Amino acid sequence: MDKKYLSIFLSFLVLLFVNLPLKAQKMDASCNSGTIQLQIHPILNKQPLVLGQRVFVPLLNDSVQIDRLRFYLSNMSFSNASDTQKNIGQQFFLIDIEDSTSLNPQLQLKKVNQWDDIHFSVGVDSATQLKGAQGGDLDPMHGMYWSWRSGYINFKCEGVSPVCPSRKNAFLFHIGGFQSPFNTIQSVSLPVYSDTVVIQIDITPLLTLSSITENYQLMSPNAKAMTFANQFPSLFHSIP
Amino acid sequence: MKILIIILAAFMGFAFTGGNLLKLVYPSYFPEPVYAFKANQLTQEKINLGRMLFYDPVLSKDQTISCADCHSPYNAFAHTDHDLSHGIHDSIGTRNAPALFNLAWQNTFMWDGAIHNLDMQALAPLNHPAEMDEDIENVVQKLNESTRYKKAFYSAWGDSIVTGEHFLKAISQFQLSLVSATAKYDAVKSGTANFTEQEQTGYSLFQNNCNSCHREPLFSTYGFANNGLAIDTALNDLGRYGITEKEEDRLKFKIPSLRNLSYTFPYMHDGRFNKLSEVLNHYTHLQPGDSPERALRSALPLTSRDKTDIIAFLLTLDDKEFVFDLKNKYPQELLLENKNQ
Repeated sequence: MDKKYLSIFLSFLVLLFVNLPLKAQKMDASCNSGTIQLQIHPILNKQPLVLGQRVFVPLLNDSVQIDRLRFYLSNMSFSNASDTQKNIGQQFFLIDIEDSTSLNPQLQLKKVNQWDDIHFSVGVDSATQLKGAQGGDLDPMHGMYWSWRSGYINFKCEGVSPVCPSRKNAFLFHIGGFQSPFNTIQSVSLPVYSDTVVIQIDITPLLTLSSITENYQLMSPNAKAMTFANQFPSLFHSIP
Repeated sequence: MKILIIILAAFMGFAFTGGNLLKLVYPSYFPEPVYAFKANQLTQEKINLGRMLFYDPVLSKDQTISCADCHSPYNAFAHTDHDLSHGIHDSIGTRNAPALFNLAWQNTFMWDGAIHNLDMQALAPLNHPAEMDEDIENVVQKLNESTRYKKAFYSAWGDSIVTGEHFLKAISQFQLSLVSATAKYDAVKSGTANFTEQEQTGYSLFQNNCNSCHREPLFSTYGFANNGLAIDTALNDLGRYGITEKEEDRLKFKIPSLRNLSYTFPYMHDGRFNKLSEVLNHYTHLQPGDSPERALRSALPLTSRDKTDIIAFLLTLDDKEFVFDLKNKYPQELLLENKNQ
């Protein structure tokens, strides 16, 4: 082979290799494939949340142990400046920290595009709530449906803390309600950085002194549940 | 060969839909049902499964209480002689077990309307510590361990794996099939019988005094009303207010149907009246201010004779055919045979 051609070929190869990571990085800048991997990372006090583990929470000046964390994410969509992908197949995701598959749902989008933002609701919308028995993640056998009155529990967090004055120091936050004025469903929008969308949900702000020492049993759709639910959007962050 | 397999597969696909679709049968003078049948279409297999579940104490924590314990077919699926419902470990609840019929025309359930879809209603007694004290996860697990139920779920849903959805929908199907529309009143409506003179007089009095809440032909609007009953201070039941927390809903309870009254005593949400005459006396002794309802602002102007005539009419709403209908009874063939499976 001609030496000249070889050097051109080699430099082309070099260029290609140099370029590849660059190109990949550019692709990562915002997500553009049809498959999106969600990763939900529950956080407590800046650390990954581990069920049954006691963690010191400075705000309470005492420890907290979370024993259950489940919530619904629904109505997911992706958008950029000019386009939106609304229908992504599965409509309701029951996120359960005890079930690692639920923390890592894979989404198949019909459109291949560069998305800037992900949008979703925390909870189950009222039209769905009014329907009869449903299956899959909405099956009432997942412990996320009230029995004494109709309605899904949109967000469930249970645990113990020595500062909680209840029996066995247990606090129960079963946040639901879908009828005005106590419609507890919340909307969240977050930036998307790559095909893998890592979403942190930091529950630390929920564990305030008043929630643990006064409102430690929320199990009805009422004003207190509403105040609690209004915090949800600020708990979620996507990380690059 | 290939074609045969495709045909066979298609046939099996149809077989798995769980039998022929049924249409709810009701008289032409009934309104359209409100239940969303589209999402839960009736089939005989599903109704049968629902009937098995309805009569099976496996639904309760210690396998002692079935739905039928408080909703007996012989009482039009109410619980005669019990003012308050009677559940697991001889627990006594806080309200009278309501009769079950014409449920396809109702979209709120329980005396306070806490439940807004028939499918979800069963969860309430299932979970209540004074009723069945069980939870649906356990029930689904128990049913999944039973060969008999796996077979029944398969023939109903084409899937032997029991899910909460299929379980609840099957119970709905049996309850939806409980249509009471064969009382003497219905025969008169269809022109195959006549009221006696007294029943006719009672009917006119009923139309003038009772029909605004107990609207025919279902004999309820299935709305909520505060009929002026003094609160039972041992129960302190505020009714619908407990659900909506709206001041105007204080002491409102769901208006019950007046069909099958002979089978469903005692009356009212707390079963405080044993006789129809006591109920009528309540309405004729109301003081202004007792009830906020427009129709009850003052006592109903009924003489003793009027009350007797109204009761004569109300008895034409007893649906003996419905109450003694064998297809609604304990499903011996489904539950007793192969009991150990």
